[in-house]
Amino acid sequence: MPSTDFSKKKSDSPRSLSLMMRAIYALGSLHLAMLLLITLTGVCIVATLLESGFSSRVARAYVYGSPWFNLWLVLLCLNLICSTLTRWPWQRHHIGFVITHAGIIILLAGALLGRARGFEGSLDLSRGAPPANQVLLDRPRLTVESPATGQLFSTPFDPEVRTPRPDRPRLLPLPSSDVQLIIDGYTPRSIEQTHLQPDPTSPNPGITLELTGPFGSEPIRLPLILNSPSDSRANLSPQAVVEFLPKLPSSSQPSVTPTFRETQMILARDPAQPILHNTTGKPSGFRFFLGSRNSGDPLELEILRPDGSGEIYRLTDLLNRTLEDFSGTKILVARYWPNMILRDGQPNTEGDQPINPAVLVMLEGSLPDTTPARLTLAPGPTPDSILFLGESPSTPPTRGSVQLSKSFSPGWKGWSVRLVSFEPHARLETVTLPSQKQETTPGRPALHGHLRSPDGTIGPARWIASGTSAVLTSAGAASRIGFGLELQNLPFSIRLDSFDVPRDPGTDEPANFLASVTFTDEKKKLEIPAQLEMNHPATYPPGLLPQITGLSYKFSQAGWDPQNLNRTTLQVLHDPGWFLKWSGSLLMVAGIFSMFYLRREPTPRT
Amino acid sequence: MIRFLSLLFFGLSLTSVLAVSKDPASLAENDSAYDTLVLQHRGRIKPFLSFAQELTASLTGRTSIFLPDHGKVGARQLILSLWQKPAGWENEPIILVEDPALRKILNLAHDTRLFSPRTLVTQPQLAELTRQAETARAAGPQAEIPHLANAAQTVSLRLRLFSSLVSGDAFRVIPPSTPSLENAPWSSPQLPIPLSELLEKQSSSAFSRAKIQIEVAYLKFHPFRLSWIAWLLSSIVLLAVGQNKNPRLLSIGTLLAWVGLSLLVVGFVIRIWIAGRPPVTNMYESILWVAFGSGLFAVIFTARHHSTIYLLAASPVIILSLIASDLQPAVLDPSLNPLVPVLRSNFWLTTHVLTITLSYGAFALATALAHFLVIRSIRINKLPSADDSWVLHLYRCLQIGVLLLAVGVILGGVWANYSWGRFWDWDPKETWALIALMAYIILLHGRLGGWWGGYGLAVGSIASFLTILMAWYGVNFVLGRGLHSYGFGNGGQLYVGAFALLELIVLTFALVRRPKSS
Repeated sequence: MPSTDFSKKKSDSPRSLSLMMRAIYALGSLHLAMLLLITLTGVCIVATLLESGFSSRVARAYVYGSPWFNLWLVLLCLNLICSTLTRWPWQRHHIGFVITHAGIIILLAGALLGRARGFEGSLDLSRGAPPANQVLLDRPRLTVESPATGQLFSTPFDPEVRTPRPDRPRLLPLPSSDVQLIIDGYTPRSIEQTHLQPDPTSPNPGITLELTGPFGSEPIRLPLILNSPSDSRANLSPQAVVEFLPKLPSSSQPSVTPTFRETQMILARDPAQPILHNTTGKPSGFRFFLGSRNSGDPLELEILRPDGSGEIYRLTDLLNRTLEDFSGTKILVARYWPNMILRDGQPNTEGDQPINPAVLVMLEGSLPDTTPARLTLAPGPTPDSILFLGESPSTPPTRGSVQLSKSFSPGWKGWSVRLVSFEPHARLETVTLPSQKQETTPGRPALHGHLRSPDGTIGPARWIASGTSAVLTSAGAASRIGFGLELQNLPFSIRLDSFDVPRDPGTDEPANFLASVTFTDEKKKLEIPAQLEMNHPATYPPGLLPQITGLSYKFSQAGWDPQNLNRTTLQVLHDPGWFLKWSGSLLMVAGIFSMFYLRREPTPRT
Repeated sequence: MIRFLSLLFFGLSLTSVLAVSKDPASLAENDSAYDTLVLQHRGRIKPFLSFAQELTASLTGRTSIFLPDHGKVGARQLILSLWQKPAGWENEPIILVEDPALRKILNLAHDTRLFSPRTLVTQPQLAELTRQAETARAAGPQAEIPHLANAAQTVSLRLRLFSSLVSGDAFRVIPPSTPSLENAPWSSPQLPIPLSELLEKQSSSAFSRAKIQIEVAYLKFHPFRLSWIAWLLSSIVLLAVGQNKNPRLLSIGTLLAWVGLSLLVVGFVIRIWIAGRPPVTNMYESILWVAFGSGLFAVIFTARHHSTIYLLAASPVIILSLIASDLQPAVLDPSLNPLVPVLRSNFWLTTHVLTITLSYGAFALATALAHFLVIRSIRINKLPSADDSWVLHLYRCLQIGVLLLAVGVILGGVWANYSWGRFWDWDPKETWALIALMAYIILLHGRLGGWWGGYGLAVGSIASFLTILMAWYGVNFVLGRGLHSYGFGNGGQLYVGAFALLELIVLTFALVRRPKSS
């Protein structure tokens, strides 16, 4: 085993040594080294458990990124330096030991430098978009405006760490004023909701409708403003339009020309592949599924429209009857075979048991997007009533008037509409609210906050979504508060020229991500094209020297959008500590190797 | 109005499905001629035998299955039967539902794990739980999926697999008509086609026939199984050597170890050649590699230091890990799948993973030696002296392990720098590798400082190996968070937990019964 330098040196250390040397011996002692190593190991274990239980942000904030963890690393550095110094003058057999410790010191120094001066962020690039030169860092910030001077101040603010709650708000004094900003709520997903707001300055009336569809889904709330170019009309879907006009138009019966005629053979046992026959060439887009909920239950047929809506019927209710869909499509279940087999090339049934059930469905109708269903509204003769005109491709138009909080049928199959509110002078207002829906719905994180004046007056509270800002007020003071991720400017810009995702044979699994980009440096009047793919990042400035010294910016493939192949997300890294990290690592490994294997076979201690 | 021609065509292809009856499923002929028929499956062209084994493992969790009506049915025959005689298989218990909580909630029998597809498709709750899992999963890779929903989704995937087998869709045996399209999807036959005709169709397609032959040979040869048998024989022979040091037995035992190691190498070479990538992707391959590492160091140290104790220590490591790798194909997936892009064509990844797992092999060997040392010390009730040869052997294993682990961690940094752009990110896998490294460094420094001797080194080796276990298995299967998510999996917790518990008991015992004298 390697000779026991530590214990030997300790006994050697003469009392006559200077104070500094004694300090070096104390700092470089094996006891301290073991203490530091054991605590670091324990802390790392706790941190990984924290990360597993909460999130990597929490682990980062409380452990890896915290000042005392850095202090610990600095102490370890110091311990290594001192213990190396205590071996002075170094002998031949110290080479491995010195190199290893020097390697770790350099590595840690590089890590600290990288942390202080480098950054890591992401960059979204789209083909055809202007060159980008701002990187989004994963560091949420709060930007506040001083109520007194209007100056902007920015501070790191991570709501996922010590998440603000009503009972645990986070208080921030606004710069050069006595007003406090109080953040007392956080939601990982917020949505924007538009509603009708009474506004005496607005000349236009507004209404709110509540539309309930035939399939028992959540009612849709629809605020509309008269004479507003953007807010007087809403498209529920490409096939359904609601509009608030000064006067109802004279209705015109839409001319329905059948644009498709189709038959579908549906087999319960092979739902994915109906046998389709279309006389017009354009598929209807309708799909059908035959089956029963549990074995023994009656057969049911599910109708699925091209727009994704649909309903389920008992097969016996539909058989040999023409069903008229609200989009004007006629659906006829013409034949049913409980146990279909082919006999002489003709479908036939063998017995009445539903063993291989199949049905033949005939469809006739117009393609859905040619004639939309339409609901037009107009102010009525009395202030709290409105006139309506409902039109759909399949039914004659419906007219009438409706009172506040009453319901009516717009003449669309299965739909009912309620007039929820009427404001003679109104505008639309959009507010940010926490999303109540499941985690799968998209939404941006948002903070809930208000201002508090020194006299205790509390201003109105509101939600501020990430990437937006809002003005908060309290007793005469007003401040614009912005919340979002920190942006880092690059000294050059980058543009996406092409993006390609090759796939694995016969699957949709991506095999690689290929992007061509161009770097533009206006100062140096440079334009440099570069290629990047998975595991092969692009760097700017190019060349070995900037890379080695860690002065370059590196762009790696990080994310993609399967729906939009003109877009890619790159990860951007700038790390000035790069060179120190690598040389330190190399030294450390070389040192361990020489300690273990380039010395005489260890002579056991007795 | 109806195109009866197309109907006819379609109907014929369905005739096999149409003729449904309550009769039990019938078996197709177990025809080994099918072994070399190739299919396109999971992004790879592979022989039928591979396909059958993978899918049998996916459906049933085993490589063969016992059916009430037919007895033991192998993978090839099972998959062939599902394809050629699909009728009635929906009534056979061939779908694995391994989660006891899921079985309970679905009111399934609790004493069996295999159920018929019919029993399962009629469970509305299974569909509901699966839907929950799918919704949760759509939220993103970090989404947490409730345990039951996750288990239900696994079962639903098995059911989907089953229906793709009985409908014939899974059997993509017909190459595209334009061979120039290398990545084009292959199709499945609409009508049953005799084997000879299928092979004829495939003859024009470009794929390496030699590779297919070798893959079939590999699947039949079981090099890893033969390897642990060789190691077992080796340790039996070496134990028989005893005190009198019979030179003939010694060389036979050593030779058997060499044979075992060679078999491991042969298995690896074939796997690498077939898959065209190094064995670095999943738990299965890393277990094999750790076994290889232990064997390699044992053989090298034995040759250099003339002590067969290394071989005796490597044997339990190799036997245990190779048996474990063979035990649960559903958890430890032996199939050769293509890699996710981040793992592809990466020299640094390969060296990083292979170095790290090689160090695990060295530490596993050290742990085995440490057990020997502890047991011997307790038995003779004497602490080992500092020049005890076993302590030296243990120290050598720890040295190579520390060096390789340090190199591996740094190579991980190199790779992370390439792939994710940063050297170190306190990712749990990284952190745990560091924790393990620090544990061993503490162990070595404590010995340097004279705080513990050979016995402490042995006890510490056993304790430190638990950190290796955490870094290796725990991060992926227990913590389940972080960037190494492509390696995440489920299962085996019971075995690993039992092992860890056993080691803790050994540790306690070793500390309590620590010999007082040296």
